[in-house]
Amino acid sequence: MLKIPPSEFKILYEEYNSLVRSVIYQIAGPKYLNDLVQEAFIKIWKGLPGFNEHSKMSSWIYRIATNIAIDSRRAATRRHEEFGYDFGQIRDPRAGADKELENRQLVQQGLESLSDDHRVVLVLAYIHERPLSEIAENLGLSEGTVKSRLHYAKTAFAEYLKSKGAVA
Amino acid sequence: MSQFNDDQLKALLQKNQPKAPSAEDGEFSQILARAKTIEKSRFKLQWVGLGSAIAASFLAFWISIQQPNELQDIAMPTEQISDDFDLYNEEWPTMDVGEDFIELASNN
Repeated sequence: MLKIPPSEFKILYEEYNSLVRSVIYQIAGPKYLNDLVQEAFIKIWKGLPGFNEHSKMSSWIYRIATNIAIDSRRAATRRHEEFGYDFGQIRDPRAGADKELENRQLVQQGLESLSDDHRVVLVLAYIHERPLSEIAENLGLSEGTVKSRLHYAKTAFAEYLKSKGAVA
Repeated sequence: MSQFNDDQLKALLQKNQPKAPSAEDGEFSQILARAKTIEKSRFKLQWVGLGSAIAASFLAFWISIQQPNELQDIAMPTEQISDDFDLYNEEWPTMDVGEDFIELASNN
């Protein structure tokens, strides 16, 4: 009865699961991660039969994951829920990992300190290295707006690091 | 860390990016089960929609063959509406109550 054979869908899931997970986690935080990842793959599954531009598959999947994460953040903001990554996930037992751990916590806290709009563009442009034109299209914004948001996001992030004494 | 440029910021973010916890076991099975449920309900909905459309068409047809005369009467009234103004020229009864009534009234 399924339009996409489960075996093909599983290949797609395995290929893009970490990407979808990572985008949703970095934009929306850990709270509803598993539900949102499932929702994203259901959307992918629903949209797949009509999707024939396989060269743009990753761009399309980024769009789905990003929009689900943004919608979740908006709903969380309406409920006055705080944004926060799960620091329990970044403990590193290796010897000499203290500095790395400190840097990771600093980066995560820096991202947390940003507004949702700024975090989204910084995550997509700098962590996932998506082109600005694609980010603009996926967010329904002009490229100029994305550039401007990215500029303010970088400034705010650098300010945060400076306030923590991490940069001169 | 000292002051850094764009590339250094990118490297810092990529190296220390927030890592999502790995997927729970059986996540794909759950997604597949949800997909199947959605597909089934969509399939049912299509049949219900089709059945309703057929039933509505049949009902409309049935009504049209069961009551042709009544419908025709509504559409084509048999009595023609008159625009004959002779009606107003007819002699109407007057308010002549007659002598008897006046006498009776004056006696009371």
